Amino acid sequence: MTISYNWLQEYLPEIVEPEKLSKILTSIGLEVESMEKYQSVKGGLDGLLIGEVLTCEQHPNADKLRLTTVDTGAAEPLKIVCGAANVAVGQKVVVATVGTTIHPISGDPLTMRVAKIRGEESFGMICAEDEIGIGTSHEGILVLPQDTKVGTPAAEYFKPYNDIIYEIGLTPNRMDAMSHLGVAKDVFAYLAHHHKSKGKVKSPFVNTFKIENKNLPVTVSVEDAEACPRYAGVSITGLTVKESPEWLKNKLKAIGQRSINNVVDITNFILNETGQPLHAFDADKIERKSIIVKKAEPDTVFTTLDEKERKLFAEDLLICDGNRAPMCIAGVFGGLNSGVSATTTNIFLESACFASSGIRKTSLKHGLRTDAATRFEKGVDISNAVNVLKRAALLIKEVAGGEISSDIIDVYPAPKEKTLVSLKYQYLKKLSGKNYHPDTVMKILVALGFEINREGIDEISVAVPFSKPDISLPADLVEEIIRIDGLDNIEIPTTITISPSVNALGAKEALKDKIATYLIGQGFNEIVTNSITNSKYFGEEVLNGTVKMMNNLSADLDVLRPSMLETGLECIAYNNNRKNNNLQLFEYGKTYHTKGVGSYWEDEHLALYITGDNHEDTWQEKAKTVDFYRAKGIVDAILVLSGLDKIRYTRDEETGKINVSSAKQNIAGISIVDAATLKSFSIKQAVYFIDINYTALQQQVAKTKIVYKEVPKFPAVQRDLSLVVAADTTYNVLETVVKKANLVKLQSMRLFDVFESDKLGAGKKSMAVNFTFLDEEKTLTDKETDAMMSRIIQSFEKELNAEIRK
Amino acid sequence: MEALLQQIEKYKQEIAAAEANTPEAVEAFRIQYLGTKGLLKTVMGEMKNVPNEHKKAFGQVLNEFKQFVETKFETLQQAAGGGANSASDKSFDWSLPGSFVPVGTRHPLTAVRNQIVSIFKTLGFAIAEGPEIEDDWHNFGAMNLPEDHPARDMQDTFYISQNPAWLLRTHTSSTQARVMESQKPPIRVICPGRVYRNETISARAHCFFHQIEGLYIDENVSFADLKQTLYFFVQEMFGKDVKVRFRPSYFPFTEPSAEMDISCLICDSKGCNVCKHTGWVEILGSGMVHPKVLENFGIDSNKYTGFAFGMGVERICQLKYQVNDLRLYSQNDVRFLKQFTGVV
Repeated sequence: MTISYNWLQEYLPEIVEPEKLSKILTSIGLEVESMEKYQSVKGGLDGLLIGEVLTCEQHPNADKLRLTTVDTGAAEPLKIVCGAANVAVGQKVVVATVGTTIHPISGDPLTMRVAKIRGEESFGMICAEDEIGIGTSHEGILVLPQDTKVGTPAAEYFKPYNDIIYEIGLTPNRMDAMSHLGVAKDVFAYLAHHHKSKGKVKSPFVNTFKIENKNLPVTVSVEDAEACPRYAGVSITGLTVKESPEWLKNKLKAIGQRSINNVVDITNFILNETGQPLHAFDADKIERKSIIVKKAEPDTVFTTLDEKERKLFAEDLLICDGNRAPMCIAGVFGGLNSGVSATTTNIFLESACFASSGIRKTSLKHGLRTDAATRFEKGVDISNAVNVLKRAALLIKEVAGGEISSDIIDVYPAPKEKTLVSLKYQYLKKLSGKNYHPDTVMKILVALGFEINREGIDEISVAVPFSKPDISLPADLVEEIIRIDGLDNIEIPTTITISPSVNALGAKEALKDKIATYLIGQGFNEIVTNSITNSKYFGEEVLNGTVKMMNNLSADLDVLRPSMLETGLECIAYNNNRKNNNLQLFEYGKTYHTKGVGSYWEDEHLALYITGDNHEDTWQEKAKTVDFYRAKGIVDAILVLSGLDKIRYTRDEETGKINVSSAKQNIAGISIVDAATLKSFSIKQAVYFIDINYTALQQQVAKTKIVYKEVPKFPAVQRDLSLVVAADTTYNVLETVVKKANLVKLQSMRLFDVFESDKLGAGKKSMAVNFTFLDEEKTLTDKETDAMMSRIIQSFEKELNAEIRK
Repeated sequence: MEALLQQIEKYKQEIAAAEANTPEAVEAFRIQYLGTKGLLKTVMGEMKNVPNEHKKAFGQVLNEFKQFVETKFETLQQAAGGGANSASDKSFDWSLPGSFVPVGTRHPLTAVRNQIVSIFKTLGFAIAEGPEIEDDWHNFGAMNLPEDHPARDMQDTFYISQNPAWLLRTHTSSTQARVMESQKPPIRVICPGRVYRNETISARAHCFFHQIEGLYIDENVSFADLKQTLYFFVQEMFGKDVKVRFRPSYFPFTEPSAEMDISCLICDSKGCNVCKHTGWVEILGSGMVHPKVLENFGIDSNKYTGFAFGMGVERICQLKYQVNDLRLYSQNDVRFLKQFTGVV
């Protein structure tokens, strides 16, 4: 919403400085998004003076230049070198003196300095009209009439129009402020409350309206009173369509509107003054001098003002002539042939009220977001239609002449009643936190245009002005009061009241943070990827259970991700393309699944991605490419940090995925991303992907109890064992064999060496394992330990045909 | 051969028992055992006398012995407080880079989200979560957004289905709706989460972003309380000197509604592009829970009042760290992420 300072000021009872006004507007909820100077002439002709050329001689060193002296009302005449051919003694001219900045019609501003032109000093410039931005002519200097007074500021002579323009970010509930008058009413309420301003909003509506003749009666019939609850109009004859007067052009131009002609300009002026859209028809084009307001016949083709042929929809409301032919899409856009043209002499002026929902649909369907449509969409003040019509008719007479030639037609079959709302003072205090005096409440509401219906001891009942259709509840009145009083005037209490709430998600959050902190210490960076992704990443089977959007942004962002892998790979590819190859990334994210409409679920994950080297070469340690065991170690650590034990790794033989479980619940998977997938993301290095089911992890954590156990009193004993086994023997098998030996005093086993060598024989490898034994009751003797070791050795020999290296 | 091995075993015992409590004594140890004419050299010299078939086994023994002596030397050295890492050692280069120790970072959005959440936790707000795939009622209807509200346009909302309408939540208010549905007042929650809008991706708009909304309902909760909570929040978040301004605004689910601005931290309120030369930047929307919203959940709006507020995590992050392009957050360029390693 664009608001002109000058225009607004016309309705205010006191002068408010522009800066102050800006603050007031923002404080009452009409947020000033920008405040800019408007100048019909750039620079406003500041500093330019009217002067008289006293002498004019040929420049000694240049044929085309003259030396002049110019009287600008100063004590001494100014010496000015002038290049214009038309300069002559006695002329009244516009002078830019030293220090003045001129704003040419094109090009950058220019500040006058003392200049030496071909050896002669010049103290300013005699200006052409394009040089000072008031015209386009460069045909020599501008010569003013002889009676112009020397020394007069040029701004005083040319009277350029200066204004300040506010761009207001209007919220959708403020239909009352979609006009200068509406904004003025709101500012007035502020002034009345804060400045105790005695005056009133200066209403533009006057009682001088008079019907001069009834030469052009027009009949109106409204066939759809729901879509058009009020339709008013009047005809004016004998007017002259021409250019608008300066005041009108200036007002419209200042708020960024084009001047078209005097009649159309008045309708635009009224729209911006009162918020009521008007439409002027060329009365001679109205067949049978009759207007019918009705819904469109579907598929009717209608040519609108922009010369476009539009196919109409059955919901579109039309203003038709007596032959039922459309002249205008009601409240949205005029027709090409029925509007005011240069030759129009008689008009029918419409001031109507159309239902907002219909206007919205029509305007959206046709893509016609006109000023009128946006006003009707929000709702206009239905009570004001005739007042506005009279005001407009008088203004048209003023700028275009003519006579009012019909009765005021006003089809308003079901006049609307005002909404009554009552507000308990107690509720006002409860909701706002401030104690308002009933008198203050009453005064603010009255200043805002509410009528007092009843005032009680503990409540006030008011009738809501039609301009505020959004107000229907006591809470709405509270907002009106506190916004005029100022939200910043509600004091912040010094004590705080808390109704405590137990945080059920505390443990979940804490574990997330704990794991994240650990991962950061391991060099992982956290990522946040888009959960909307590309369906092309997934096979048909996966897509069947995937959530698809009806209205996707683009073909490659069309589903919610069913898996965490792909968005992570996108991120790796993005970084690889920027030469960042060593990546350890993690993300807490969701996947989304469906079993059909209405059946959706979201799974929480902690996904980790490891690729590249562990670090760059350092002076102590060469870079090492990360491998599967890095991923496994990270999973181990996360589970230990989560307090879980009984962790089991198994391998899915089909997919090669390593599944990790705790207490028989599957918690995580570790995958070595397959070559085909890597290729489809153009990734040229191995990627290890860990997918932790965060919900499962939490469920296990919830079951975990940490109970203190006495620290062992007796020392543990360690033994190493080196054995040669078949090369395809997995460590998992070793563990199983040891487990089967069932040694209660065996605390742990730790693999510390694996190697293959020709010396060991073909198809063989060596594995070295350390065993820790502990007896909680006493110190283990060598003999006891040896006995346990030999049980282990025997098991290895028997079950794995292992050879023990001595 | 056998005698030689026994001799080495004896040396080992002797060396194991050796003591050296001063740097001088350590140096003496070094000369005695590791010096150019030390014991190690002498023992090594025995290699030539060993028959070829035993050379390999003896080599291993020698190696082991060498390591043993060296380890002992290092132990003595450290115990005596000197050695290669000593400040008195001229060959010690303290300026060599420290050993590689990995350091990663949290994403700036989670860092900021956690900062916000922890501030509200100190004020006794509990965290609530809800689904991102929502039905029409929890996202719109319950929040007082009528059927023909512009926000329901396909231009703004991603729909999964229509009749019944399922959609991607456009705000975390849907979580507030679920809390009001399942809990009786007093209610005091914050709802952090991901939300979606059907917007073309650009520097200023994205199809997903993150919000944190708060809700407090009890008897006698007022706008003054709202101001207090939010003022406390921005002071904790941006420092004690931050100034705030409340502006009347409009949201369908609150009445009265207000937007909160804070003094521009980038230009110190002198005027810059971020604050559009006003000295103020918008930080969050808030208001008193609309009576219709309370009634939608059977909460008596005469007895209970409440406030609600909501902010965009990306917006706070932008104000705090001057991130000027929304796309950076989900591109996850590690050069971007690493800039936030130091965020506390």
